[in-house]
Amino acid sequence: MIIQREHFIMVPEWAILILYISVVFSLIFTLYGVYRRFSIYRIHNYGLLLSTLRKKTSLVLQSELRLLRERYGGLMHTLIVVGLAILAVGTFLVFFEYDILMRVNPNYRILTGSIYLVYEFILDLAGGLLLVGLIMVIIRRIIFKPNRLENRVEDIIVPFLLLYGGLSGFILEGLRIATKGLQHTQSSFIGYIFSISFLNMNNIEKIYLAIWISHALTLVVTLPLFIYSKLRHFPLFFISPPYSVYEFKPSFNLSEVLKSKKIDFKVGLESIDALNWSQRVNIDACVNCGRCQDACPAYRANIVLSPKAIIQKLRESMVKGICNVVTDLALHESEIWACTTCGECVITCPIFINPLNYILESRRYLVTNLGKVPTSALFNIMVRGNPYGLPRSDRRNWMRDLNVNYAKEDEEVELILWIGCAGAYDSRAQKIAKSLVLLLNKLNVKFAVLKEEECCGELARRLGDEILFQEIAERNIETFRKYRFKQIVTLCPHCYNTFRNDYPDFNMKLNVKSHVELIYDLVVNGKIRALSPLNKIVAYHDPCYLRNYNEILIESRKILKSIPELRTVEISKHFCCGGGGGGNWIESEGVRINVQRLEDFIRDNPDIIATACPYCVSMFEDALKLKDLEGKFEIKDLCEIVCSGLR
Amino acid sequence: MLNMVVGVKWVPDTADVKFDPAKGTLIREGVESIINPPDLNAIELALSIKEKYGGKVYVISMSPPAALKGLKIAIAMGADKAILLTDRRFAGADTLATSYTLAMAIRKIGSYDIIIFGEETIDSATGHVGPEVGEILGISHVSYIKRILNIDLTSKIIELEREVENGVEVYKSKLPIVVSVGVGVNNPRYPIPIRRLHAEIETDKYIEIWGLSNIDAELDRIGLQGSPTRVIKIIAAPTVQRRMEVFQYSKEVLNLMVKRLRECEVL
Repeated sequence: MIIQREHFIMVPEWAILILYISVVFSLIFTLYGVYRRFSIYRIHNYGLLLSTLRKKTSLVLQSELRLLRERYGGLMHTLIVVGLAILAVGTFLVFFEYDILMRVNPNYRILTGSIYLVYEFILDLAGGLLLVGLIMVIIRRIIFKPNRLENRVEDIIVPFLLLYGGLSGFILEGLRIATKGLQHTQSSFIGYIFSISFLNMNNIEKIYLAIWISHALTLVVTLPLFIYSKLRHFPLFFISPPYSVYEFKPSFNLSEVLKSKKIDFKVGLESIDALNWSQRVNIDACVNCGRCQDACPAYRANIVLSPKAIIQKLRESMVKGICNVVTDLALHESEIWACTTCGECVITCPIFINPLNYILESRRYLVTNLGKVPTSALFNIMVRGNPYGLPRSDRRNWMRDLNVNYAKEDEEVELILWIGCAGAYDSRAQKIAKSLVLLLNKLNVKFAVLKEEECCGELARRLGDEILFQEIAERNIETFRKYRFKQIVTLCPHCYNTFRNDYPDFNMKLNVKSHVELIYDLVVNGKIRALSPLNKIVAYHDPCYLRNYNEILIESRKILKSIPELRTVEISKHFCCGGGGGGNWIESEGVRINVQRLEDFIRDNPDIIATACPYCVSMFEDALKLKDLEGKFEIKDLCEIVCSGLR
Repeated sequence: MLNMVVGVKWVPDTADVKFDPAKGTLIREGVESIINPPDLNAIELALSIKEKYGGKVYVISMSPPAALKGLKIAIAMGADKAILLTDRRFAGADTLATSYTLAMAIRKIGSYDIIIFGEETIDSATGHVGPEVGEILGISHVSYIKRILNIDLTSKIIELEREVENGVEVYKSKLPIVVSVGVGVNNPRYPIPIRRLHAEIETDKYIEIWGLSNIDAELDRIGLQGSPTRVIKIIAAPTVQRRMEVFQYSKEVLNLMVKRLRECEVL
């Protein structure tokens, strides 16, 4: 007997005709859906679409790895994706053999002999994986019910439909094996298991036909779901740009506006119309999985803000064609101001959606156009060059008793130290600045500070006053151009990120290092060695603007490892301290993010909570006061720990 | 419709002004100027009246041209128009000559219902200008007001509240009126950035620059010759050293505290 694929066994001609006709209808319906969707997206740049397609294809694995950060959900998704992908290829092979090759010549076949046996085995395996994945979905949706998942109609229909498709496929295979008694049943191992229970069945042909038709219709219905239901995330994944945390770009250049004396630009996300096509595709790809919500510190504390809800609300308004974003319905001001801009939602999203960008663009709209901002920090920056509203001349107070030189315009200097407003004005952060200066002095590292230093503009940008930000950036860039220096080292990760990722938009590429990188370099090149032992347990909190924005996480841990006798404990999940994005300046109601983050750490009872950002330090110290735990834990910047260990 | 005029002063940020004890003068070099902070409360009050009763807000300042920067901020906050009075002959004015010049300019604006000043300036702290403008224009004036209770637009009667040391005074007056606003009675709004940019680019549309020729003023009542006040000498007030000690609560500490306070002759 020849081993080969038998097409349409036990199926009458009329049923096959029904299949072909309904496939044609399904294709037309799907294409109509694609057309409708594309008119919502207003795609006009197909070149970019193609390059996005290339980029995203290379990110498939990374996306799956992001999903697998959560074991159950990740595994479930991987099983379904692998199962469906193999089944799709398998079905295509059948179509190719039967409808193309065999039309040319009935003897042209690919699914024969041992190839067919392997094919059957792989397809059975794929079907098995799919079923396991789908059952995991259903168990999670119906029994575990994690908070972040809502069960909308499509969330139930889609898995059950696919489950029926898979199950009916196996039943059909089992029935075929039971009637025909195929010899090579060992390769269709799951079908074989099903067949056992069908062996002594009557009316097998009628039952077979009924199930075959329903199985065929399931597939016919599933195809359009890839555009009409949340399954659209699969095709959209490949054409929606992979947004990162740096996606927040200005919509105008202030110095050009001042030159041309024309204000012909819009600032911020005033309405859905302001979304460009790639953002539209990006938003529409969201499946409501809620991983961003679980990662959001503001959601964890007070449920005011959910990045998932932001994207879903924007998506709904976009599809319904409702315009106004901030005022009408989509985003509420309290959501917009609850965000700490930590970027965790962005680096968590498996589809590379950037909820943060829409929050920040809404802030831009509210602040730049309407002047609505819930803190006086911006006014302080505008008037006195620092968010604290303290006198400009007080900026130098912290360095009074220290050996610090100002940079001179006619002398090149190796290293400029940029202290930042916190280091200069906040009494706790001043101590960090002093430690860093002492450390550099002890190691004979030559450095200078700038007498023109003022706010770097970070807060203005994150709070949405793009005009103030660009004014400040231009002033600082002018200052940088006056001096000759090899690198600039920042004490504050917020200044660091601004110089590294925001200033290049204004033609200023700085060789900027965070103080963590500087200390790490000093450890690596042996300048820092033989530190005094520190017999303490240290838990390290990553500042978001180092970890999420600039991927600086290994360096800090290696610095801690270089200290003898020091033991570290790792906290499994990263959350923001609550200080970013203006969080340090906006009064929040309810549970405080900093207190919650402190609680993450004190569970492990470390002696010291170390970090590398003056905002984090001040947020944690405030949290200690609120929890009445002052003196029980020490909050230290990395440079303070290293400095005190220098002999 | 109410016409409101807010007087604004562009002052050096006194927090940055240091005293030169040798020369007996203030070191103003390199010190940035700001809108006199209490004037922000005045602008805020005017804007809130405008929001509630309708009207127009003019901002007026007598200053060298550098004050344009401050007036743009006032425009950005929401003022409809700003007038900068700048002329060499206005220079050297004390509060009386200043008030006279401002009053003449306000008269030139034409109709005015409420003239609002900040409580005082941070660089000279006299609190004179509001009441003096009221006297010169011959209209009623109330200082240190806390809030407006009501404005009857048909009878043109205003009711307002003034905070005094041990109570609250309520006034009723016919418009027009001059008021000065207590510090911190409201939260000045953030200057709308895009409006600030508009004021920067289309300055002429929002800000008029007036010289002596634009107002009807008598020459001997303006500038230095119109100023009876002379500053003889400036001396720095000695700074008081404040000290703090923190103790855990106990009986001994209480006794120690009483002893220390007796030493300082407080008890």
